[in-house]
Amino acid sequence: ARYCPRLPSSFIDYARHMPKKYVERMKRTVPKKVFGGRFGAPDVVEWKVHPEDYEENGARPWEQEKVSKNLEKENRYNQAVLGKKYYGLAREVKKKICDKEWHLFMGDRVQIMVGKDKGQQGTVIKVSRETSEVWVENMNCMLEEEMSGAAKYGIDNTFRWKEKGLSVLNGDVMLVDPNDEEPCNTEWVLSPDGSEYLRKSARSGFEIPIPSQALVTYEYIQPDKYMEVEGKDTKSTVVLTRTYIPKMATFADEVCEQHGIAPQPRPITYWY
Amino acid sequence: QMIRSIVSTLAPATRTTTVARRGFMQMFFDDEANFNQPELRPKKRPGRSWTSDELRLKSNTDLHKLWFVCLKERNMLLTMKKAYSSKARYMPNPERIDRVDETMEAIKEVVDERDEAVLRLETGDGAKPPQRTVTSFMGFTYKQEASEHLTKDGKKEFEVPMLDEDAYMMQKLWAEKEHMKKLERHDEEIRKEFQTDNMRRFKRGGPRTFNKQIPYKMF
Repeated sequence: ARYCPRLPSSFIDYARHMPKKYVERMKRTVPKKVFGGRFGAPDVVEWKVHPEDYEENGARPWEQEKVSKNLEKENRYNQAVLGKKYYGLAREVKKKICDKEWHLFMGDRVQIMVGKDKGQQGTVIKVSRETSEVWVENMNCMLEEEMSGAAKYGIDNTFRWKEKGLSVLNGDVMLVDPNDEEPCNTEWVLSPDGSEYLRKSARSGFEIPIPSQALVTYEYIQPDKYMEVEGKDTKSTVVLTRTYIPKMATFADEVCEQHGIAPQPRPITYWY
Repeated sequence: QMIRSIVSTLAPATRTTTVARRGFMQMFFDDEANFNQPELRPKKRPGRSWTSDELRLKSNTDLHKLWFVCLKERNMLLTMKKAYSSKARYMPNPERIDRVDETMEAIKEVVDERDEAVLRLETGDGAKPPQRTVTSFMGFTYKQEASEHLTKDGKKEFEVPMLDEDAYMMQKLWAEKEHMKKLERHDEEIRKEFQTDNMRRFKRGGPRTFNKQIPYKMF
């Protein structure tokens, strides 16, 4: 059998099983109204948030901070459209690193190369592919107040140390080679049997395995330990058993045959 | 693996219920344990949608059964969504509806693929209706799917090589408008390039003197 391995950086994500339409709806980059039937002219699309206007930051589109920002943006954009005012789309600064060059995952051991925590090592707690940023536990922290503007309401403000994102593009973090516990450059190399891609340190050639924390998703903590829901989920053994036998009959004809429905005589039709 | 269900491929379609509260209408409602929850418990959360590769393993009969299982699930979820919104509450895990939709789209994709293959082998033309180029009264030329007719002599739209006066004028004006839009977009890009951080923050004009070494991309 021939293997078609995929780069782990292309499919490993906390939200990999989230439906794409749901993510789009949460980002609000969906059409509000589509004016079609324009006799060949392109459709006029009214957007909630224009796809080119969407600003990426580290948060997921369904997290509270992002949801409120997207709603604000939707409001501003639609007010400008209604008032026929000029609305400048957000400045697009492309920061996404391609899958081939991305090698950081949740739970990885990395070393900070800049800032006051320079030289220290820590574990990755959050990854944002769109902005090429990585959050490391207790590293690169900034004092932040719990509630901004609390003094106005007379509430005593509490401060806490909150991690800031580290840019992978600028080389703020580097993966640590388990061999000598020093930062190293990594490459994606096909395994000897050609079944999967491995990340190898450029210095020692040592394979750095992907941490199990990286495979955690909203649905499961470990893929093997997923709890199947009775009555809603199909068992994987049932899913992977092949029942398809190709036949020279269309779907409708085959199903009718199975149910014992006699084929109806079809009149001659003309397509134009 | 956790995938949306074929409840059973061989067992009968009806499910026995121990609690027949609503009787026949029970199929339109979710599990009582899931009512008014902010988020479903992991044991009650259905899994991901079927991928088209997994569906390609299944026979047409299985796909036919799965379609109706998905349809019933979708009806239940949409009923619950309506019920929640009528009470001004949020539905827990609304991505369930998108997952079912994804599965149904994938089933249709696989079925269309199989039909296309069979019909192409048998007839030479695929399952999809032929696409014809058509000119509208405004002069736009676009592709349109042919429709089925019982008679040969129905009204047929054609692609027209020469446009009449109005359509010709319309196309000229449209092209001019698109050209101006393109120029404006280009100008906008140039303007953004020359903007500095201070200009963005204070919304004031840029430096009064220009460095003549910068190449003028606008011309």
